[in-house]
Amino acid sequence: MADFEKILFKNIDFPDQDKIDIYIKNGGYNALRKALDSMSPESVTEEVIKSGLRGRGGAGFPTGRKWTFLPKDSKRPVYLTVNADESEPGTFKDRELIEKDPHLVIEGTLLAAYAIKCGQAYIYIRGEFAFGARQLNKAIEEARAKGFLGKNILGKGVDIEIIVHRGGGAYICGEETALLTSLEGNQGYPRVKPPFPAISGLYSAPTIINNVETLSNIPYIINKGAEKFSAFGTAKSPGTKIFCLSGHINKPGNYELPMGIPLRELLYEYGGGIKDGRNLKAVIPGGSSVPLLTADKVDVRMDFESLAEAGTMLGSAGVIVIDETVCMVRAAYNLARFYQHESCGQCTPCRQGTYWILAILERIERGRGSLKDLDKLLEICENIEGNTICPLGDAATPSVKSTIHHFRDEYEYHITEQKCKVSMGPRFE
Amino acid sequence: MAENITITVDGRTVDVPSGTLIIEAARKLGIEIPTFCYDDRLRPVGACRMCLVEVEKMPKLIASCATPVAPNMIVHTDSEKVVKARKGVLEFLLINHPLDCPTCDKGGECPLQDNTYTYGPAESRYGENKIRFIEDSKNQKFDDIRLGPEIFLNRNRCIMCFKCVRIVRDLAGEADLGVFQRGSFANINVLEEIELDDEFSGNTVEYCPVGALTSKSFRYKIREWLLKKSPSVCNLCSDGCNMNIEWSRGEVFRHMARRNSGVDDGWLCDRGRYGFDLSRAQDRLVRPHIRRDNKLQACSWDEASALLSKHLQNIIDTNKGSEVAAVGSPILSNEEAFAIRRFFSDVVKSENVDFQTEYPKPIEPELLDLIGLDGSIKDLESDSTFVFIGCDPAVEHPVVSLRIRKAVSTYKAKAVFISSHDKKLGYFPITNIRIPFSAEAAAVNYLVSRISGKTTGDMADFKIDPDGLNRLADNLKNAGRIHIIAGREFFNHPDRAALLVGLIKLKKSTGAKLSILPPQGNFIGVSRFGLFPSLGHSFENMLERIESGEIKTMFVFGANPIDEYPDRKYIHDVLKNLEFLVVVSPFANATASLASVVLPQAMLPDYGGTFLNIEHRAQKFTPMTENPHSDVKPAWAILGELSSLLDMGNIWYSDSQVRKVMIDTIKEIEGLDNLPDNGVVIRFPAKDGYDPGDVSLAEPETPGIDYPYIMNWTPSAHHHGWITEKSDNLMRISGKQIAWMHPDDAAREEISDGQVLRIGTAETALNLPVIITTGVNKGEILIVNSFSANPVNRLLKKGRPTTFVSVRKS
Amino acid sequence: MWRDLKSVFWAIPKGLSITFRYLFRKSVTQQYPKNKPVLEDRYRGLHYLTRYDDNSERCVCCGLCAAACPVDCIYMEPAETEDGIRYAKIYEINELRCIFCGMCEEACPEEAIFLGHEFEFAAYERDDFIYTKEMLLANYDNIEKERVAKNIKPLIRKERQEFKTPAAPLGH
Repeated sequence: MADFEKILFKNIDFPDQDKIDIYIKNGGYNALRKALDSMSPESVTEEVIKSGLRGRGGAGFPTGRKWTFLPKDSKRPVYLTVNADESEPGTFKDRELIEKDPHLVIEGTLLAAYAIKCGQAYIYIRGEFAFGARQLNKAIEEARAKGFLGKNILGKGVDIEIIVHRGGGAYICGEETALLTSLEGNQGYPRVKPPFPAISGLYSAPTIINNVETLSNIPYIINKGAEKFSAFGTAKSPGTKIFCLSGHINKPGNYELPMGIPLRELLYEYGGGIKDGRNLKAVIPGGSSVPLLTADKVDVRMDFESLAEAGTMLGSAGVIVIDETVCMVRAAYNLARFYQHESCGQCTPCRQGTYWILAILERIERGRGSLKDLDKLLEICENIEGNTICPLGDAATPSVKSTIHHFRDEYEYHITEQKCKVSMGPRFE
Repeated sequence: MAENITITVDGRTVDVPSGTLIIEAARKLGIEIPTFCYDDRLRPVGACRMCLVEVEKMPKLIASCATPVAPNMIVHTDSEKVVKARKGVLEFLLINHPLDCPTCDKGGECPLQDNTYTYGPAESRYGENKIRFIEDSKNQKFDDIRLGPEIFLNRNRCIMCFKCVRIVRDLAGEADLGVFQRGSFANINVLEEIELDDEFSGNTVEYCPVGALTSKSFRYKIREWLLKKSPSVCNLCSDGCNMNIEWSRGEVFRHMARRNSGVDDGWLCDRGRYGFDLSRAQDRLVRPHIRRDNKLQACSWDEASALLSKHLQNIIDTNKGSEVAAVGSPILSNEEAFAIRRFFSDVVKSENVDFQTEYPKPIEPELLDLIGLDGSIKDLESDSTFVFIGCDPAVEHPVVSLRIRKAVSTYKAKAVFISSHDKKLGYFPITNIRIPFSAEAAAVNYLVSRISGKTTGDMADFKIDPDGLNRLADNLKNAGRIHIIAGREFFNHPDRAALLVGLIKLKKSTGAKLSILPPQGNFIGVSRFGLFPSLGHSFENMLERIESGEIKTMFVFGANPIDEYPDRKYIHDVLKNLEFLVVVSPFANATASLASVVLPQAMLPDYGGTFLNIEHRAQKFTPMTENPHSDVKPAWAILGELSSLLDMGNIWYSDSQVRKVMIDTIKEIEGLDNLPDNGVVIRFPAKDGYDPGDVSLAEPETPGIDYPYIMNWTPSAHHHGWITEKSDNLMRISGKQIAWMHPDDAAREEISDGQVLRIGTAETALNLPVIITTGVNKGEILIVNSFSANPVNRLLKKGRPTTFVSVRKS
Repeated sequence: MWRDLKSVFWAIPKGLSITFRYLFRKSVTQQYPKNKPVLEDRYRGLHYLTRYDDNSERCVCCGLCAAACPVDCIYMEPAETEDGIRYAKIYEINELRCIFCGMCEEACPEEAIFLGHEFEFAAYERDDFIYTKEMLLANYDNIEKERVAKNIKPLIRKERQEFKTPAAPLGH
């Protein structure tokens, strides 16, 4: 376990890190000072582009490049929204950052707002994170008292306001256009793109949406420079990533490690190995919305390109570990329940397709499936993918498709024998 | 600066302005891309995913209804991927769609049926249970829940296209409908305490792509393929919305919109849409009647015409034309108005022809050039400031108010109402500037003075609070395109002359457009084509002459003076003075019950003709081709028959014949003969700038102690005039008759909300429930709706411009 | 002359022999009305409107039979019961106009109208051939019900809206 100076979790377990005095003592708000003193907004953006930082919310889009999509001559104000609606199953990294080191999030937000010349930033936090919202609000007030936030920050004539907005409990509001619609006060329905939020987003004004983890990287980039940041990780996926280990692992939790770390190392060295010494069956590497990896692929490196080559995605790096005691049909059923419940209901394929998938899987779980159902499920998935307004439709299908692809025998056993191949007890009486 | 972009669709190129959606570009080439949720008048949502097309170099299929064209786009609308996607979408739509087609009203005109037949899968693979919504918060336990007095909703059939929500919320601005829940259990509904009862609810039924929304008046009545359609024009307000009368075997089943992008843009208000049952009202007259032994007895047309022609022959022979008067109604057609004038001036030789039975004082002839919309209806969308004086567009011109709502909501126009009670345009932001009753003329004068910087004179007498007017005057100084609109309350304003002067001055000082809009269906048409009275021969003059005994015979065509004239007792007594009253009416009404001869008049589905709307647009309406009522005739046919019996004048037998003679007589209307579907705007030459001079404002009257409240009244959107009361549908939908009272007054009189009050003058009284609201001034009572059981004109008195009432608990 | 006489002489016996031959053959004449004809199962005679097991009418007055009819002999007016069930207020078939093709039977989505085996419904007045809904239901109740029970034109759906059971809540 090579120790290295962490970017995000450097002070995460320092006592009282959420208080501003401790944060400043540990080097906080230096980046903000440096940026406001000696850097122009354009040079902040340049630095972020040079660092190669990619979005940490799941899509992996280069952050600096996204900032350059803003129109230069817009009459409307520019908005920044921080996506703290962390609802992807298996992901809990933003929660730790918000609850334990909220000032890091605030500083990252302020730096990003400065870079894109935004005067009003919103942090959209999921409603269930009540404690996190309190932490952020407290941190904002502390920062305002010290002059880091509000009017005339540090006397440099820069005004930036941050408002924390709590969501109502919808996974769909993590999708950027649904987040904007919800922030405007409407029901969280995604919008058709184009127009992209960078051109017409919140209140039809140019808007940038970034994930909490992405913005938390920016103070380090400004303090230590882009080269030091991109020294970590790989060429195309620089920097570190917080991997959320969960499932049948001995030491579940958040682990900040450089990009490109092999999965085996993550699971066995950092995660402590599979619980109760059992055998690994499958790993979902990037939150439930990506295809799973079977146990023989455990040597793959955890970065954007390697996982894409392996047929899956890094996504939000919520690593869900599945051991040999899990019936894959049950796992697919649980995930199908999630997606059916969270679908917003706007477009036909997702609204009806997720319901149909859940209905078929439930029928199989109740012991009334037929072998034709498997091909039906695959066709339904094909009809959903690519035909929806937002990526929730594309996120609902990989769990079904990859479990059928890799574990078809378990499904057939379920259907013909009406019980789990791995003897998991009946789901319904 | 819209440059043209060339794109290729299915191998053919087309040039479209930038910003056009792909689906519209394809439509220009004649390629119809199937959709459910797309409507070119509503904002696109891209929800149904039926319009997906393949665009080269794009990884996914694109929703053509939500994506504008880009240069050099190559679009395929029938490639393999697209065909598969359409099949998939239809399969998804059908998995939870109930097997209701036999019992669903939409069968036969259902886009879901048609698209499934053309693009969909032939068999269903769905083997699970279908979602079923049967309960809702109002404790209804049916699949069809009642959203309002007219609309039913079956949520099982809903395919979540959001058209109804967009129509009600974005277009009309009513917060009635909403989406509840999320995902596959999402359903459209109204909140517990709300009903879907705004003026445009019928449009949701017409544009819903499935049978989820149905209207009570058409429910389970007939199938679409059995209906014949006659293109027609609504005559219940002066907007002149185009519609189709859909009928079968001589019975009218519904009105559907017929899109005229210059007038209604495909929308119909509920008054015109559900007023179709007027032609089969209980009070419908279908036989002529003659009064014998003091009772009206049915008879044949021959008898009635013989009696009338004898009476008229007598008058003509003795040259007593001045003893005859003719009163028309502002919803007669142009041909009827022309025929009436022709007959009475050429045959009977009488100058007494008018139609203004609702107003105590007739309209000045010079005012005729000012009546109507300044500009076109479409131009309303681009006006930036509206000032409404004595006009409530949501009530008087519902469909045209949609254009104003669009200007306010989409283009951020400002709408200001100067009125003695609060008015609204849905929930869109408007300003109400409150003035006392009948103080409009003073308020306008104040504005004029303030804008031109002169001293404003002493407004203390009029008790006007100047703050709102000051702000308005400042805004008007640099407000872009200003449009001043006066409406119903202008025409019967107690101080109309002064108000007109003020409006003209305001127009001159701001460079605004000035529109004076009459609410009745063909007011402009009948004024232009013959029923406008000559000087000294107005309805007011006629009434005086009846009282003095000079006029002994009166013909009433379509009007109902007893219900319309603002003094019920007076008009009743005057009409009783007549020796011979002939009432030509489609309905049995209060005036017809006094008549000597009653003749059944044809209604909108029975005859053809033309109307002029507020734009001066001439539009043609056509009748049903099968009619069980063979005895009803339009006014020109009746007069034509009398002409043939008297052997004088024109013998009219068809409306096109009347039109030909009209064109020969009035040369501006050359286009009237060959009207295109959209109608044609007729420009009448305006006489030189009307300068009514200066008129001093009338002094406001003060109430006494016994009758301390000023009474004002207003109709509502669904019930406007005595005719709409004959429609069962509209009576079911319209609100009740209520009175508005200010909270301070209610507190002083210890009156609570909903209590029934006796609102009375010295002569008589009405009993109404009261609503306590700040929407009305202190010391004023506003009565909403007038019904024949409780008619408001009972309280009005001729020669008394302001009505003072007392209020007691009844 | 003798040859002619011979042919004349033998003409009558020759003809009568044919008659005698047929005299003792089994006749094909059906002695109607004493013996009724044996009809095939799918014989198309007088219409009948069916009922569900709980005795409610099947017909929902959807209009498909009238639309399918090639001679336009069906007239109907729908209405609604208090429970919101659609039924036919008026349903009439002009049996004189009908050509007994069976298109209505094929078009009906509710298994409501069939053509039965009744063909003996002569009447003296033309008006008596307008069969109202009550008459068509009576035809079913009194006559055709037994034939249907013998599975001659079997009914597949036994009760109203079998397919419309509410979905059990998923995922619980």
